Amino acid sequence: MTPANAVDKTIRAVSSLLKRGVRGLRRARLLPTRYGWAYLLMLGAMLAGSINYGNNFGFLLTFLLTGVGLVSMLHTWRNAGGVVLVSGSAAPAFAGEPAAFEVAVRGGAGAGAAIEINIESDTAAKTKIDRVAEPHRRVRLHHATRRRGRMRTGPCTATSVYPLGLFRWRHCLAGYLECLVYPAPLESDAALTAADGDSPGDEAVDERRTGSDDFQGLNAYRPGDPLPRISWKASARGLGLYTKEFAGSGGNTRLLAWDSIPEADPERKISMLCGLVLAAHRKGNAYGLELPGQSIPPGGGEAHRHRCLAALADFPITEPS
Amino acid sequence: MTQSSAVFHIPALIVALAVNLVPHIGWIPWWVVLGCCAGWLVLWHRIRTGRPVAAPRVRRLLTLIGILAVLVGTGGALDRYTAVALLWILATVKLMEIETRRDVVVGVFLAYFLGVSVVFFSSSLTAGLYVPIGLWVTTAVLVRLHDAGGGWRRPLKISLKLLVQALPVAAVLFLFFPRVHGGLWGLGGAGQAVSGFSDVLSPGTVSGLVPSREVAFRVEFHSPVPDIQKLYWRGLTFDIFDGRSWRRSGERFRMQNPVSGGRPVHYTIAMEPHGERWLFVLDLPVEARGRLAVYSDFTLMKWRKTERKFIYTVQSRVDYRSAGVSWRGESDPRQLPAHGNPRTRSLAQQLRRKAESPAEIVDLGLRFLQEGGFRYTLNPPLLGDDPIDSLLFKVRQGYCEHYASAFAFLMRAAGIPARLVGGYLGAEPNPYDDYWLVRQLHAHAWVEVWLPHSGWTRRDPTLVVEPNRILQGAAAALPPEERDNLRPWRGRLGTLSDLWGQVQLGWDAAENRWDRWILGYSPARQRSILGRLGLEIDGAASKAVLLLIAAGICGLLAVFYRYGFQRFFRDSPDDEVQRAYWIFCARLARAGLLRRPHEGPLDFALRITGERPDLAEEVNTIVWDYIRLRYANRGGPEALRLLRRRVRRFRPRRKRRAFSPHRLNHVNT
Repeated sequence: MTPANAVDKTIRAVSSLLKRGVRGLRRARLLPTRYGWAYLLMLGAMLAGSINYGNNFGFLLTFLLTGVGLVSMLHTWRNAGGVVLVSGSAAPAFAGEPAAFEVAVRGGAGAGAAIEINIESDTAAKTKIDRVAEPHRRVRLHHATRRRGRMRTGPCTATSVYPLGLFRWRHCLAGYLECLVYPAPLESDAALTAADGDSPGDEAVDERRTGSDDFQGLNAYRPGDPLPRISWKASARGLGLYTKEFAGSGGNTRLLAWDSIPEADPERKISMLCGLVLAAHRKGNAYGLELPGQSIPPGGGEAHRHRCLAALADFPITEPS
Repeated sequence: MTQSSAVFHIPALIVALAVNLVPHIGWIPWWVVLGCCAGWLVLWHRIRTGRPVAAPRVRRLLTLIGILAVLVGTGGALDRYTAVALLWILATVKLMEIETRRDVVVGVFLAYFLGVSVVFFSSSLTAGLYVPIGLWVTTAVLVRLHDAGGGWRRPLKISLKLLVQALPVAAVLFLFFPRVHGGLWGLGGAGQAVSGFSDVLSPGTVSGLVPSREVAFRVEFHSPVPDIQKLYWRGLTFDIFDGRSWRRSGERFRMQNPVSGGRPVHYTIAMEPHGERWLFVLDLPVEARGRLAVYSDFTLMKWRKTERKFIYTVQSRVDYRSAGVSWRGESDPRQLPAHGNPRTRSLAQQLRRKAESPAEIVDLGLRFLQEGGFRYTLNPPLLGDDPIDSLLFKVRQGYCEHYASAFAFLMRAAGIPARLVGGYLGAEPNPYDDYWLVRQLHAHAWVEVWLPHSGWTRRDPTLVVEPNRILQGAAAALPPEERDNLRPWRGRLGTLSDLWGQVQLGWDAAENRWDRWILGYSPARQRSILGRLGLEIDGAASKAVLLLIAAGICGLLAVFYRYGFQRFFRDSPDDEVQRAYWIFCARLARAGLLRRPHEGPLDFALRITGERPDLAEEVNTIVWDYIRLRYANRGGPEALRLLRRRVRRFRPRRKRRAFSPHRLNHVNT
């Protein structure tokens, strides 16, 4: 390596380090914790004592502890640096139940010891993971939900104060964690009867006569078809997935309509509708939803259930006109 | 953090505090040590058996009792002993109220503080080696608090790593941090004055020091070491005789006329604290700086008493003439008590009649001692009412102080100005380092006479009586039975004691280095060391610059620690693969082929193959090399080198528009 080459290489290395350092500091902040400030205060007291008494041994020990503090900052950085929160998502939850976010974490070059990942809010539980060494890891975070709708959480962060707790490394997930919160289901007999009364198939209330006996034939499976109706026999024979069609299915179709619920409070109304959707889904009936301004045609299956519940979750409450 | 998990750290804190307590033993009251230990044992036991630690009422009571006990026990003096003892009591009570993580951290900080507070008591090398062990364990407690495992091995390892990495930072800060005031010796050593001379010299003063091997001071010569028979270390002079003991008169001035003579000897002395103002110098001092002054009797004085170790650098001439220095104005160096010792007085008159010059009187006096059959011994018989007559004419046995006293008396009686000098004779080289030890056993007393042509001149009567005193030291010059009394263990242990002596010398050498480099780091030394590095410090601005330099060096150290030597000059293989790919993309971008953010290497290669068939082959080779290295982790350094060479040679050119395939297609249709 020629000298010029070496100088060039060193300059490049230093400038890239500086750039990386600045970028790193901007993105993942490394700041003293309150214990870090207390430590600084302690060092100040020791230094003042050493200066006052002109005590070189005191100077030496004070500077040794100063060094420990500074080096611990680098250890914090090296341990956690490079740990990245990649993405996070949560399955929809019912209001009042905790939403479970799954956050993907990617390990950095360091050991990744004692990294705490949490959503910065008072209702979220903290999760501490150790050794984020593997390239990818999923962490489950719970966050309480209060009301239906789209919930946007506080920033999701990965923090670490390892090893001494004097400095906190902090990385923030880009963007927000979002979760769809279904209304809290409210199951009331009044709503049940009201809905049934309005539905075209009046007799459908009776469980024994759900019409599942009138087998009509098999249809090719479409995503969203209810699982109990899949013809497992056919699938066992290797014919593929088929859904059983029953003559009674059409007759059991219910339309869950906004206007049919005998309830004044719109939120309670939505909760009741939610309960009805769940009940209908449990029974495997086909059901549709009729809300002011939008209607969902009858159907069945998980996707349909989600569609209905999402419509309820997002339903805007306006002044009754 | 729940209470139980914070309590889990109490035993760890107890261990850390116990380690930090050890060097305090002997400094703080013993019952504080016992009280703390008892408190910790009870605490530990209660935690192990799962019982509640201590009720708030009990804690308050303990705090009150502890504070009162310390205040009463130390007599209410608000000194460092009381302060540190109080801190120990508070730390012990604090342990009992640990409930949260915050309390644990407070406990750790207290342990740090107590560990460091040893500097109030001792700055010895032993403390210098021990205190970092305490800091190590304390830091391990802090690491353990944040460690998921809860074991000891990882925290101890990490804490050791932190301390070792902190050493260079500490060294840089120590070197560069501007020192404000001088004579910077720790508080350590105060109250530990080594016994030595006092300002009264009576029979038994010097011989009482001989059994002691304690170090009086250490000397480092910067110029060639003088002959051993010239190593007379002058401490103080005695010019008033009351018939039994010699005293110092208070009348002396700063020296006006410097001493002339041979080449000066340049040396540095590290004086052990002896609680007095006088310092020891090689006969005769020429020049002293700072807060030191050479007086007209050639003694070196300090402004304040030497309560701590003290380092000073002086120049002396061992071959000298001091004719220019007169004793006029001081107390009369011919003064004698009116009565007593008649035989010595008549001997003096004889000498005076016989001799023709003062110098001859001195020589005749020495010859009297040489030929009189005198014996050198530590334990002469009692001398009676006329001690000098008794020594010279009856018992004829004595130690250096007896002979010096008798000779000075004789000279004064003969009309020659004379005085006693107390100090040390000889030195012991340390084989492990380049310095000499002067111990209490080197203590000596000799006489100075004033002669018209040469001024104050040293005459050592002991040498005439026992010439071995100089060459072999005091112990060797003594009769064999007295020598064995001095070191009764020596004969029995033999080689082992020699070995022990060597170990002591080695340790002394290490301690001397510690004293000179660490404890003796003064503003003057800082200026000289930094001056050698080309940094001038004067004024506040340059001190700020010093701090900036220190911060800069620490920053460089930080970069070095963060990336390590390997990574500083050489990236990890993974990064090199990535960098090769970036270069490849950058070159394509320059050729107008920008990789879109969502495009992986394969998609990108596919698009380029479509857009630029002329580059397809090269691009696909590179992309597949990259994929193999980056994702399949195959190939090793050989493949990496190949990829880098291919990327280096890959120079795609921007396609001229006329030959764009899109355009051609367009024309065709």
